Amino acid sequence: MLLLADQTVVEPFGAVKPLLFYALAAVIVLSAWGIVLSQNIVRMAVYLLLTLAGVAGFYFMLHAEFLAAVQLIVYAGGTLILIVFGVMLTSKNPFMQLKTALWERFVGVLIGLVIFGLLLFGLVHTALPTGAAATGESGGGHYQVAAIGRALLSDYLVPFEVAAVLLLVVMIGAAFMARRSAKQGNG
Amino acid sequence: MLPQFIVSVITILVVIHVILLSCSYLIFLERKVAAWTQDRIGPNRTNFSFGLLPFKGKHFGLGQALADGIKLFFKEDYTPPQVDRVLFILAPIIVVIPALLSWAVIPWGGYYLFDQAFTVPAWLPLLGGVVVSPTIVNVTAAPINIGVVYILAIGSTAVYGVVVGGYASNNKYSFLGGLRATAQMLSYEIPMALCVLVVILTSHGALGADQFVHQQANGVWNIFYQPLLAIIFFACVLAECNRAPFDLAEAEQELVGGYHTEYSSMKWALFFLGEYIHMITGAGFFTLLFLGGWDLPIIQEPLIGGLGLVLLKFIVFASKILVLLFVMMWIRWTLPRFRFDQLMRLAWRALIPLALLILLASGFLVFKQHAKWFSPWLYTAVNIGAIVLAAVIGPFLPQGPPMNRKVGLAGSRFSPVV
Amino acid sequence: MLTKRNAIGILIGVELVLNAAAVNFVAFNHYVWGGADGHGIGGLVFAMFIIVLAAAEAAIALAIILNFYNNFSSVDVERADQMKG
Repeated sequence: MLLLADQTVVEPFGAVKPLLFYALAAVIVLSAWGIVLSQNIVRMAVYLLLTLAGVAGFYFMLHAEFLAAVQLIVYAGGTLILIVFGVMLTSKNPFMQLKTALWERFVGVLIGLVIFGLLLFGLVHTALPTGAAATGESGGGHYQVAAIGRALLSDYLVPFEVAAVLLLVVMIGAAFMARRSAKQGNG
Repeated sequence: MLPQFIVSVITILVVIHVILLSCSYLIFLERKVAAWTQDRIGPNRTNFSFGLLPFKGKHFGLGQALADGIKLFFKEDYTPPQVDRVLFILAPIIVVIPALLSWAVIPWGGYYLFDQAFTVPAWLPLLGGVVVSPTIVNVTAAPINIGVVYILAIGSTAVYGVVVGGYASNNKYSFLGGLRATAQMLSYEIPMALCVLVVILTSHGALGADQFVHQQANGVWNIFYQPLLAIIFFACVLAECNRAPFDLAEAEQELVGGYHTEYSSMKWALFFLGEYIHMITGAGFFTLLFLGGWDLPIIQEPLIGGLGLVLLKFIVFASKILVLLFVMMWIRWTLPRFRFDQLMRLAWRALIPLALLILLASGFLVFKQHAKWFSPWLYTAVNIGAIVLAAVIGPFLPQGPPMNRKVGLAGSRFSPVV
Repeated sequence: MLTKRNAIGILIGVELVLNAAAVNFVAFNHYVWGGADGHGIGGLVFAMFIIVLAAAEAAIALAIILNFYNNFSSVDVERADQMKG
């Protein structure tokens, strides 16, 4: 039997890569703007789905396919569904809107601009390596899933175990809180 | 890179057209299966002239699929007032797109061998005149190296169409239907992912879709080694597609429909199409994991070849999918619908513990796979052991709260005995 | 709060910020640390932990929001101005 190990690793994006990057970036940025500017909570959740899918696309483009799949399974398939459930369970009027005052928006924009300026400052003043040698594009290799698994169980074992315990605690805690509120009824 | 691109584009074009066209005939097949199950004849009159032309001839009702489509097109596309219009239109689209995306990694035809260099015809824009050197490519739209996980990931986003559709309709029944369907799909995703995990584990860490076919080549199909797991996976596929007996999302007789109550015409048809595409995706996934993909044991095939071999593999793959689709329809018209609490209990108290048990035992066997006593049939033994264990200790497990308990038939006026 | 008064809206905003950070981790891992051909997958592992922690955070936050909603019949964070429930 002939196993075509090297044939299965195919560069999915070639000449269209920059085009794809800008398309995905446009999707992400526009939907992120939508999240910030929209007043309808359900629309916000749908825009967040678009953002998450776009970020997963970025991971695909960065050859981190496994991370993209994890992003879709855990984030889009789990976390966002939780949020949507929360939206549905807490809105009496489906198209509920909670408006904010003008001065609050003004302060928000101001703080956002300040943080953006800080990040830009940091980015400009960091000495990033340049050239083809530093971009990691030479071989076009993919992150191997086995390497991620090995790293999780060797170098990052303690955070991995802590995250596992944290998830267990969160599960018990969330179930406990939801149960208590169910007993109280609609108090 | 370039030959793969060319083959990918051709694969996408062929597969999309073949399957979307066959979807309409799947509806025809569904009606026929329903008729056979209920001892009827089913649609057998409609021909392709629809009575408009002086055109005689028996077509066995094959025009029915076209007639159904035309009927859906000409229905009024009604949008109720006070819906969220953008989301209302978006929902059917969100249902169809993930289902279509999953096909990207399914290896429809194995490999294609460019055995000699050729030049792309000069009249083609962009690529004209490029010389392609001999190479081997996958007959897949996107041969990424985590194919199976990709199908799971895309499948997990299929919930949103249901949620958004139920929510945007601004209707309590749609909303509740959407919640029901969401809870169901989320619950059945867990045992499904566990099943995939077991298969990945026992396939020596294969993740690409074609690697699974290599693992099962020449009749060493996983269904023989993991029969219970295959059944669990099949149940999860049914639940993910909202098919009977898990079709509470669209229980129009008892629950006033579901998330698509407010939809009509082509928007409703898109929901319906999405269900059928999900069925094909699920059947393809099942074929890939448990039925050996394009593998046909009576042909000790070479793995790589020209167009004929690709077509043969495609036909084998499609036939396996078709058989599974027939089983799905058979189940739908045979079994009654679950109640919602039964459905949830099946997922959380039966499928998930069993899948976890098999995962644990299979993991132990994989750990010991170099031992002298190891044989792949031990996996089968584990599966049968899980069935026996469930049957033995199941009745002794604590029961749920005493509501919706089945009343014993004996002595009642519904008893078949009296 | 500044632009959102809906507690779930704030949660969605937090998810957005976390995603931005995760993209940065993966991108810098790829382009600066050396990518798959180099030796570094630290950024990937970090992004994965971000995803896991975001899931945990969303679960707890939603449990709190649901309790809050049971007490105040609203998810307006401006109403949460007293310590007793």
